[in-house]
Amino acid sequence: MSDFRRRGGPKIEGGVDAVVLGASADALAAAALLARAGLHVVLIETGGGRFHDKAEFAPGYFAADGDPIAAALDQEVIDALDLYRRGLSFARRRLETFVRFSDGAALVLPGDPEIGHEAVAAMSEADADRYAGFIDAERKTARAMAAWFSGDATLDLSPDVYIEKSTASLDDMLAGRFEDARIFDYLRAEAALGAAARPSEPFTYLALLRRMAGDAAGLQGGLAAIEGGGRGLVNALRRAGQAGGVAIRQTDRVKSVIVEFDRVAGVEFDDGGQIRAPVIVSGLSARETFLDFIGRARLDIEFARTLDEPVARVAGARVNLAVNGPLADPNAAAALDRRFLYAPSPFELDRAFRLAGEGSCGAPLIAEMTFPSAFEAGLAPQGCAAASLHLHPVALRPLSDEPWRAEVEAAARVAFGRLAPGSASLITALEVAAVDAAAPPTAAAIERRARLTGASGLEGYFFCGPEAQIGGPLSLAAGRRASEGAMRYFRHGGID
Amino acid sequence: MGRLSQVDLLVIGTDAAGFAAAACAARSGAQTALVATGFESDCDATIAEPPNFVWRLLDLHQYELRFETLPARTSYFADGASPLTTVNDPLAAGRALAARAPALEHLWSAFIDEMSRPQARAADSGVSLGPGRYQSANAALDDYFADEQLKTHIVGAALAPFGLAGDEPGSAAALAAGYLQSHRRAAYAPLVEALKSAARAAGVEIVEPRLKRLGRDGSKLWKAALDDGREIRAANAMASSALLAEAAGIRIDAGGSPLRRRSGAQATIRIRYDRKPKLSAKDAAAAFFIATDRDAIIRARNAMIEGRLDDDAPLAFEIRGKEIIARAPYCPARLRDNGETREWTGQDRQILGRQAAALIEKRLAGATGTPRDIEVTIGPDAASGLRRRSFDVPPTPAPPPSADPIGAAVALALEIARRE
Amino acid sequence: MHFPICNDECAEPRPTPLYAACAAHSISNSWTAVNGWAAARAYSNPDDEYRAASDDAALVDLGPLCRYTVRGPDAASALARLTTTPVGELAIAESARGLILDAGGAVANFADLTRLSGDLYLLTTATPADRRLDLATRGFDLAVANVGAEVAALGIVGPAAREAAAAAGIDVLSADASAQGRVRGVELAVRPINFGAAPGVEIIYPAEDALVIWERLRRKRQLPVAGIDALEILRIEGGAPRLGVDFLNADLADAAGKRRPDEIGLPHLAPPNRAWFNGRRAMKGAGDPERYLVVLTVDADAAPVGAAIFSRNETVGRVTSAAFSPKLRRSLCFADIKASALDRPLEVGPVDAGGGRVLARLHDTAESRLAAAFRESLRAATDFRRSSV
Repeated sequence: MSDFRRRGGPKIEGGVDAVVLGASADALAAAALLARAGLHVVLIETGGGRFHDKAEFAPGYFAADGDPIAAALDQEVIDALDLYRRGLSFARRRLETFVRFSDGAALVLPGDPEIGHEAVAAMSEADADRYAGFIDAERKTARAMAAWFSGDATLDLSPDVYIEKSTASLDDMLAGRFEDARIFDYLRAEAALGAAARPSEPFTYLALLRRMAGDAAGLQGGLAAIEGGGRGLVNALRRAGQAGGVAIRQTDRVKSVIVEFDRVAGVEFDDGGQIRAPVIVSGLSARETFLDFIGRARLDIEFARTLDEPVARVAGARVNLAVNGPLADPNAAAALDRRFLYAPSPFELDRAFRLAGEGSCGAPLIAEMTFPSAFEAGLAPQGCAAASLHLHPVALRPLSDEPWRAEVEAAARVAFGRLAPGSASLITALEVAAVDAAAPPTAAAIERRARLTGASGLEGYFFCGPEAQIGGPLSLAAGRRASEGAMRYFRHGGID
Repeated sequence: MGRLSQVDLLVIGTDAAGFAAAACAARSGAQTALVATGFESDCDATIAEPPNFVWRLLDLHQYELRFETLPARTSYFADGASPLTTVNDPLAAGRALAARAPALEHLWSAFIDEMSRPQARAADSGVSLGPGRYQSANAALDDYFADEQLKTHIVGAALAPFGLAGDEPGSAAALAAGYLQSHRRAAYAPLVEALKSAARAAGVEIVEPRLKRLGRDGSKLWKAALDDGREIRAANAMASSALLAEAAGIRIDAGGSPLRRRSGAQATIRIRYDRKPKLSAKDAAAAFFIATDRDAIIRARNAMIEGRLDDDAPLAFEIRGKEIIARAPYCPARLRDNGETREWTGQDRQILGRQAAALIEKRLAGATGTPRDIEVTIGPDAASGLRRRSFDVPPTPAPPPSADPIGAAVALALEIARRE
Repeated sequence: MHFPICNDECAEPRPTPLYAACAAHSISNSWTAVNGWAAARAYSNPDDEYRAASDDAALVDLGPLCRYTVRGPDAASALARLTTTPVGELAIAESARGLILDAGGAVANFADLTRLSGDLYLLTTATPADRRLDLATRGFDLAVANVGAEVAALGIVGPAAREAAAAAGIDVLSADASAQGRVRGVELAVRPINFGAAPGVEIIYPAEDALVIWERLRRKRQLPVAGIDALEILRIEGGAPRLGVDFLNADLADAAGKRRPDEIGLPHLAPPNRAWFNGRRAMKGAGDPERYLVVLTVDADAAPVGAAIFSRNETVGRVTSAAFSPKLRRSLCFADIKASALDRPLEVGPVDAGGGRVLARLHDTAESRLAAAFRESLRAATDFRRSSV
């Protein structure tokens, strides 16, 4: 089919089976999967979320968008799109995690979670067995929940266990479990990273299981560094899309989604032009997807309440550091190609949450650090390193807020100083690169995702935006689910 | 009182809820024993009237019990702001609120209506207008009302009793937990005595020594080791109250209730005067609350977590004759000074008591005189008990926190007893 | 629309603006509360009131219903979303009936909409809709006000309603249109209403002038005042279900208690091909109803509420509300029955102390005729949905 022009009027394009909105990894994955299934797909890279190439944040130091650490990539997407052949590879698998505690002690957890207890034994012999037993049991539970985290409606777990795990707070499940309180500090930091609620509040335990459920490069609970960083994944997805025939267009002028008789019929642009398609997949935020493109007047009142939920006051900040020279602390300097985590004491973390809630940023706080220059050459001058810090919790403020940015930078220095004692003076430049609102508790996020992906009632409209992603690390399951729903819909002749 | 070595149900906690639960279980035919944790205190001073089904099971009309209705709630805010009063009848309260904003008249009755429905406690906000399961109370209140003082008033009425500040996930459940609806209250001590007699009459073995440790005997039976070396075995065990059991270091299962107190403790301050406060009977018959606004409540809660008592700490109180019973819901369980954690001293309590009395006198515009006597009790501390728990034992069932602790405990006991 | 369920336990029913006028005529002094307002069960006796309302005309204090004004540029689109009324098609002074549905397609309220002017609408609902209205209008440019306390709502029910109104100088333009005007210096709005079987008009005017219009009407014709019990008979005869009695508000009911428009006999009030309204998408996916609310005539003097409906000895439903019809000399009742039992012979029992069962027959009402015509038109028309034919 060809597109036809009205004489002198806006262009209406037909012959398209699916329009995908957005430039996020989930949108790219959804587009590539639909193309692979034989649909004619047009992807419109609209709005933010476009992955930039690396940017120089200090002379000689480069940082890139996206998370270079894979912890939860959906294996089905990798297989279906053959991403390894499209250029996805791992610079390093089974990353170690180097944990620092508030008393200065360090714990190096191996890349394989199953032998973590051996490292714990060095810190506290009494807890080694308990830790092993606990991790084993929880990894098993996490495995049983993995499909549910990815978007399966059913959960293969007994109701009692589900209620216990989903309603408990981290404190409920972990306080008093180990003799050495630092083990609790570590688990707390893992689970609270990215969460809006304090570890003592209900529903927070599930985040730990979510972390344990993801897998990277075939290992459940493992971490891997993506070759090329976050861009490496996105480029592989783009290639997969292009191989399938996805037409990628860049424009910021999408005005609305056309709805006819409760089903979507296409996309309309600011200039009146249209692309008609029976399937639309949106990787944009829920607000844009529903409120801006459909409008309240055509959304159920109960559904619109989901879109009006307030955003958390608390956020995570990403800071890039230029580290001019080798680290002083031999423990930290031993290997830069791993993940560093500062696990604050309960008092430090409570204080950080309080200050974040009050609009500023405390220190120390939870800090997760990697050195992208250790995985990719050319990101820092010889003998130096580019570091990427994820700090949590900070207040949610715009990047332009100067006093807040100064506080975040100060917290970054403190965090770096705790992780690599004696090296704080090596920092020659800091850039607060991004701030992301903290996530609601996992079960709440899953409920919200279910509503956003299912309850709008608009036939042919599928959602894989940021609210459909559960947990911090990128998974692509949302894009996969959206494309599966779209394919089912398309194959049944447009009837659900 | 025989020395039973094995019972059908072991109730842990000799508070009012524990006596009631044990008595009702015994009346239903279960062999029941009741043991103290050692953390019981009558710090609550008053307690909600037991529900009708408990009254019937225990024939509580035999005991001389008096209850008082508090027909209104009054909140005081910052210096100089006029107080806000709501009465229990939603329509009448709505009409009174219309003076603040016309829309409030109808929104208030719609709100109370929504919160009284059983569905409100288990709402999935995708298909209902009620608060969502994971929603914070503050978000739910912002969804209903714009009036900040009214929202502060509601937080004081519905959330402060649980020690919640309103920003916790799932705290919206507290709005539907029953504190907003009218309550008849009784003095705690006489009611506990009555329930103790009822328990004895029902044949409950009230064990004298305290519980030292709760464990399992094999995989089927609970084993309670007592202070005097004895052991009691039970087919089932339950705690009378989640807070009490957690303070005692017992791992509990409260059905996933998001309303359990997570940190700090409630301090009860009993202030005795020489004469009754100079208030009209109508003005005095209310449940009072003092807080500047919701942000102040959150600040007080944050200070509580960090071991400090906020200067502007909210206070709830009720007037009973010549006595005022005040409750400071956001008290740290232990105080943190210069990086060190310590217990409450007598002096700390005195300061708290005097501060509370002064604040009440100020807000009541001097209607109270000088206090004759102030007694301060700090309630059970769940958070420190968490660290003493044993994970080798399955969690003990406990009633979910609610505005009706006796009813909730009895319901749980009957459910367990009937399973047999 | 009829009054919703009475709340007899209401501690302090408020007097409506017309209370002072009506109460003077109350001989039997039998009062209850509806939506917190005082409402009379009967003024003299229900039979006389019913006869007047069905053969001639009777006055009704419609104060207990809930009224809202919605004004603003987005008023039409917000109301089109909230209610199933054809907002977009309303000309100035036109009125329409509809429902308010929840997102699952279940009935949450009745809604009558009158367009008073360019962007001013009057919404009348059976039970308070403040919360739903507040949520539905968020993000729209409009102002909502609950005017229940500020207006007197006087209804004249019966075939002679229009004459009675016209005699008092209240100009009712036509059968379908409402009107605004001034009588004795009082601004008023008039709209047609339907109280079950009896047509009528509703006159709305400021509460301060409650007595003015009342006196004027009564000076021309000594119309009796009808209470709820008399109106009950009229509404069951007309086939109008009562919210809270015959079915539950979707916001109050649990999953099993929710009812869709076709299940309560009002599919014509929520046509799926109307401009989009809340709950329409859920209606599309719903299957055939499993239960129906129908009106039955029972060959007895009374059909107790809650009595079971039997079909071949199997319980297939319950009586939800009933009234004795002086015209038919039979009891008429609303019953909630299983869909499968509709074509079978039905019995109600027990109707008296003896425990006997009595024959019950489906009764044709004004609403059921409208519903049948609507279903027929849906079948006949070309549907945008793929048909299974």
